[in-house]
Amino acid sequence: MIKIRDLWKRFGKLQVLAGMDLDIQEGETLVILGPSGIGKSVLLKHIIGLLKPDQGTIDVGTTRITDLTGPDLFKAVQNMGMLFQGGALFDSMNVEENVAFYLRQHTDPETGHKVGRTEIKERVTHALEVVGLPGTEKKMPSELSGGMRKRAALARLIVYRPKIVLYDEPTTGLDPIIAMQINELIVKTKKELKATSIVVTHDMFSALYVGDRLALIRDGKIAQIADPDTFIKIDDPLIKFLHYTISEDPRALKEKNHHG
Amino acid sequence: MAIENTNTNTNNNNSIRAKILVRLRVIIAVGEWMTLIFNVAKATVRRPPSVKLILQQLYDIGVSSLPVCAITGFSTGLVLAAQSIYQLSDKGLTSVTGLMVTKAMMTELGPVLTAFMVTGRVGAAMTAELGTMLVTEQVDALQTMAVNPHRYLIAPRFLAGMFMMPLLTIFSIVMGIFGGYLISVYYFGMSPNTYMDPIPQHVKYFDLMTGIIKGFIFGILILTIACYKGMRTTGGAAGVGKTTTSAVVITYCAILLTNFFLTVALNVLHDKIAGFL
Repeated sequence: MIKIRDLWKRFGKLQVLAGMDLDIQEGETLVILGPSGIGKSVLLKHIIGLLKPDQGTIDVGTTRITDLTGPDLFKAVQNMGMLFQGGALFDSMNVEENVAFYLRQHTDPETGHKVGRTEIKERVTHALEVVGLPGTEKKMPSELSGGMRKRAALARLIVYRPKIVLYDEPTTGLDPIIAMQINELIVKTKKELKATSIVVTHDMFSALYVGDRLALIRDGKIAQIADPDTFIKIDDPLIKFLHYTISEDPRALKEKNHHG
Repeated sequence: MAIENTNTNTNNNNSIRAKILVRLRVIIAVGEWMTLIFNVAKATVRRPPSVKLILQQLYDIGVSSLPVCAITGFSTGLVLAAQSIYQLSDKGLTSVTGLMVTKAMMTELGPVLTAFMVTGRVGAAMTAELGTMLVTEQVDALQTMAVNPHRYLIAPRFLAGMFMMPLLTIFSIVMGIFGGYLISVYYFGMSPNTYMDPIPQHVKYFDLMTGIIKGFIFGILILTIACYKGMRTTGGAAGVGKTTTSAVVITYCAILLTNFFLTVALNVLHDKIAGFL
């Protein structure tokens, strides 16, 4: 689905990406692990076209994102969505306007018309229910807590049903209970949208909870990539440390949550 | 070894490049500013921004600036009239007071002071707002939702600024003439005719047009510099503060410099055209 080949990016003296290759399959949730400031967010921003690489290509489906600019790029990213670290809600608008923003800006690709008022309202209400924020339509982002802002931002995403969802540090800076809710929402979103997801994090608990495959970034490249079972057994000091930070395997909890 | 050598070479080249870039900063900034204007114009021509957004900006820039423009114009008119009466009464020249106030307000003080007030009120707020949106990734979020920030955020501001600044300038000119009239007639006891009569005789359309043209150009300067600086913000909340300050200072300097050149250029042009007629 997403094919990244030989991706290079430098900021000043800092070589952030150095010949990265990565394939992401359709419908999977890939978690990219690594410490902060190593280029994980930069990678996401390349996939969605916010940054241009110095060298290398990214193909999403049959579209070469890295070659596009202007209106073509905007068109190509219409079926993608990104959850930003701080939520990035528009603070001049209330929650409802934020969540409805995409639907009001664009025509529905299937019908070619703008979505009607009542349908927008229904979809906004539904999205807010999914993320557990019903009744907050008229609140301004400044009135919401950090976790609520992130969930509202997630509602703004799922309302337009993107096929590819990118999560930038979804659980960073949240308390464990809210973080767990976000993890749960990522799993739920994937089910609801049948979307391909890429999660960037340094939270091992979150990674094992949501991920179908795990990857480790080091020196601007993918150092390790494997399914969770193989990944946690890899003899790598960083993976060992990340594994050490969690006391139990979150997948047992997930089993319990979803089948118990 | 070979690899290390190339690395040092690239590093040297990079540091030389960085030094040159620092020297050329001003030129680069002007280039980027022009590129922004060009890109916004391109996005606007391709698909104009929504009427609702433009109306919102017309209100924010124009209507809400009316009180400050009224105060600026009115008090400048008061001071101009009072000062010219104090300075000229012993020379028996007080009859030019009305004319002086009108000409000064129309050609220089009206447009420049209005532009200063709008810079402080609108320009600074705009830089801070756009800067905050940028550092909190709201601009990125717009882009990921396939909305062009140039069309959505900047174009409505440009258009509203170009349209509103000449109107605000006219408004403060009128307030200035009115202020001068009030103090001359009711405080210094000048007859209304002495104040008003010379105005239609000696004030030409050219004087008013000077004010309007200056207002239009200052409007472009204020909004483009504010948006350019806002969209180049880095470094979090502190960065927003710094950028806003520098945007205001740069705009003031740009207005003063441009004003000088406009004064000369418009007069030269006027003489040329008058010669043909």
